Amino acid sequence: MNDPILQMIGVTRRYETGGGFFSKPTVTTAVDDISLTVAAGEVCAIVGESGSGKSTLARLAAGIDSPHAGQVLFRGTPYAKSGSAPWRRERAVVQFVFQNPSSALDPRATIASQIGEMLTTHERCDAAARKARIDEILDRVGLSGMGRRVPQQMSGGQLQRAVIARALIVRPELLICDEAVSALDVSVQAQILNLLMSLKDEFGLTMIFVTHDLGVARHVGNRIAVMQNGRIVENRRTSHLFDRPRHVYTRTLLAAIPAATPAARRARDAAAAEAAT
Amino acid sequence: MTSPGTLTLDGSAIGASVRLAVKTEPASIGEPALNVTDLSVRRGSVALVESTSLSVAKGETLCLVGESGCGKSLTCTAIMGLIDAPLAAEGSIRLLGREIAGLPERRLNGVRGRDVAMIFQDPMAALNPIQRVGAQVAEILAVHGATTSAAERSRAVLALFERVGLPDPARQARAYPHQLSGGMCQRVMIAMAIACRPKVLIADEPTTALDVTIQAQILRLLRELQDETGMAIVFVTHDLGVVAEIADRVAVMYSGRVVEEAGVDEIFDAPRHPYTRALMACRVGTGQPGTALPAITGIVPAPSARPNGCAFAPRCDHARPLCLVQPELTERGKSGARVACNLPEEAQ
Repeated sequence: MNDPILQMIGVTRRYETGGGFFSKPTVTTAVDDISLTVAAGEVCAIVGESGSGKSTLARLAAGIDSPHAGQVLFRGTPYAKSGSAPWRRERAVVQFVFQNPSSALDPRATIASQIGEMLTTHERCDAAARKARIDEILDRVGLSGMGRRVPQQMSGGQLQRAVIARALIVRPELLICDEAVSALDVSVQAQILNLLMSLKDEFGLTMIFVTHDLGVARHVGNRIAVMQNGRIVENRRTSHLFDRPRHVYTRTLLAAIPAATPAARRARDAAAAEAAT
Repeated sequence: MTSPGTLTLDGSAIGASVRLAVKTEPASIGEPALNVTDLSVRRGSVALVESTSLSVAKGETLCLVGESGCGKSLTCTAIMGLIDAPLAAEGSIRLLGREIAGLPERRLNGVRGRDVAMIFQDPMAALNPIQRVGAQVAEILAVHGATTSAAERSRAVLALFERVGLPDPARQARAYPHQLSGGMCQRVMIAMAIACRPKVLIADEPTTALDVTIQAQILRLLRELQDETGMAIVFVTHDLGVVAEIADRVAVMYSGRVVEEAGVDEIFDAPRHPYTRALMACRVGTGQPGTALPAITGIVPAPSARPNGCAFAPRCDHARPLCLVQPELTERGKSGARVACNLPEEAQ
């Protein structure tokens, strides 16, 4: 195994919800004493149902949220204090791709200017070099010549490509995708997954891939961490997890995946009926 | 079994099937439960759904499959007579042998919820947030005159909640939608939809917003209810796994039209239309992990910018000059499969 790029040690994050003038808020522990190590170059998929804490975990891993207890170490050191100069450098090496690209982009600014803003924030770069970098990354994600468009003029798949371009232009080491393909149609989902996989190799990325879709997790992940109620209940190599799930919750999840074909469904139902008798 | 027009439902029948019989004209022999012919939905001069024909037999589940914007939901909305200006629907919709397209709203209200019912994708949005869920289900029974007294209605509601697997029905009936989870709300929606034992159930992506474990429960529930009541189901989904779980027959839609319709096994084992084949190929989780998926290049055209002829041709690997002519949905093979593709059969 390569060096760990990200280590989370006993991380806990709580949220207060509800609570009015007279009532106390309820405290939800979204992430509960989680430890997770992500090695350089691997794709770690995090799966779980809604409310399991996977998005909170992703935000903690990216350093855009801080834990109540425990530590998040990036290359062995904690994230710097927000707003400081080292923090700004770190922001560039860890990038985030969100579920809904249309809300992650400014509706009024052109795609090129939104991608270019990353260079202004994180690097010193003259105008000519900046333009070359933007064109290069647009080309790479399959949006050649579309830099002057605004989000409204693009499809969902194209917008997600733009978000990926914006994340990758600063050459991050760790890319965190939170349900990055969930809002896309099947055919577009395949395009974006292919793009992410080829970019991963090209850029030497480490990825944390949060998804509720076990099919997607199986396709992209070297390793899968299954979350339930704020905890990781199973964390293993993808093939092992699918072939021999250990935790009862993992088995429940795998059993709930719809059958691949009607024939597979009938075989499964027949086996279940036989087991019941 | 009870005679039509009466209601037998004792709240004590735990786990037993809910028997709510409402008088409906029996479908004439051989007539499908729902038969849609040449349905079009337009906004001005732009056709969003174009000459779509579908039929579903009693006890059968037809899955309507396609990507966003292909017209699946609009087709359902049109069947329910819920198309409003600036949209306009035309075509024939025969429900239990009776034409319901163009019926005045007052007459339609007697049909909707009783003979045909709909489940929506987002149950939280479809339920009234400021009314207790039990009362919302009771309202359906009251409107369609299926019960005679409030006490009878509340017993019926409890039995329905029991049937759709809501734990502690008496307590849930007093809950407001925001107090229930998405899966619970969807069960309430299903209870509402089956309250009057509709002959046709339209389910528009009923499990898309739900977690996989809840999805599996809801699909099982719908299958059981269908076995009990023999209702026909039109089930809209973009998820081919869900299709494999629930469909008897499948209609694949692309850009406002049905491009292929066939039995579920045929769709999976021997899809004919290039679009169906491409959809099947780019499913995640079936191929070798980590390998490139055979994605379909390009995007679905906007309804206002459809190319001439076959709308899929610009994305189709097999497109030829003859694809500039709009293909008709025609029968292929012996199984009754229908395909809208100009390519000769051997090229498909």
